[in-house]
Amino acid sequence: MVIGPSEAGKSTLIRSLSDRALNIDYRGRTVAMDHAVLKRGDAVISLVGVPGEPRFEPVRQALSQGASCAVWVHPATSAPDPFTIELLRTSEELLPYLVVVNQRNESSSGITFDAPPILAPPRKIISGNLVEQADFTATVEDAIWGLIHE
Amino acid sequence: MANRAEQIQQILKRLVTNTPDVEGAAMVSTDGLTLASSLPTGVDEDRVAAMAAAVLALGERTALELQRGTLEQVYVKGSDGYVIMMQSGPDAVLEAIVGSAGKLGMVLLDMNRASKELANLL
Ligand SMILES: Nc1nc2c(ncn2[C@@H]2O[C@H](COP(=O)(O)OP(=O)(O)OP(=O)(O)O)[C@@H](O)[C@H]2O)c(=O)[nH]1
Ligand SMILES: [Mg+2]
Repeated sequence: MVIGPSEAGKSTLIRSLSDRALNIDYRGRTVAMDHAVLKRGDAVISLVGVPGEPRFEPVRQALSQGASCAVWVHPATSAPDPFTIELLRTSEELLPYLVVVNQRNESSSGITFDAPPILAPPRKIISGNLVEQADFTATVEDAIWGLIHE
Repeated sequence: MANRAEQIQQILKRLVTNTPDVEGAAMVSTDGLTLASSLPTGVDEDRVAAMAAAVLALGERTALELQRGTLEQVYVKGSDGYVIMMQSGPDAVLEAIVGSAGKLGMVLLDMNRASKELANLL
């Protein structure tokens, strides 16, 4: 599953990973889910993006059932949000996760993600700009395959 | 003259009172916020609102994907009754909960009427 606060860039990421992606939103904000399928040889990953607005908590809970890994899209300019932390904590087992720090502001640079102490550290942190940096999507895709193959 | 929120509330109340099988109703914005509700006590209306918006959006896309045209209603049946959702104007959803012995034809008729009245208020 792809998690993170509203406007982090979850839907943007999923769209850029597949030209057959599904985004179910209302005026740009996800209200239901995003979905894309990634394939390499015989291997298939089903990516489900959740809505980031706090009020969609029950929708996030429903979508997170059965997830095996998580991709946390984190906006470089803010601290890890409690809703995303809670989502990782409430799953039956602690899911392995990687963090994509979305450097959407040109003024910000470098990695600005501190894993909250109540979570296990992420398997990987990668940092880049989902929109302006053309090769970043491929980097994220490789990292997702890396997480699945662990 | 009652304000808009009160008028919405009145239409919901009337739906719940006049249609015996309807046990509760809510009006929710397409982006998942409660506009008004007349739901049984103990129901968390904010959670219900967010879920209704998500379910309706999924229904809309499912109908489109399977070439069923524009969405008219989403209908959920549980062992203890039904939840019926319908679009009410472009920006809102009317949702009703109905007992398991409910007569759906009558319920849908009354919901359609209420939904049109509500859409005019928005
Ligand atoms: N300039 C720039 N804009 C971005 C970047 N990432 C996302 N955006 C924009 O930010 C807005 C929000 O991005 P989304 O991908 O919809 O955010 P989200 O995480 O899916 O948000 P919710 O659906 O509300 O949870 C969109 O208008 C994107 O085009 C980025 O790296 N750079
Ligand atoms: Mg989104």
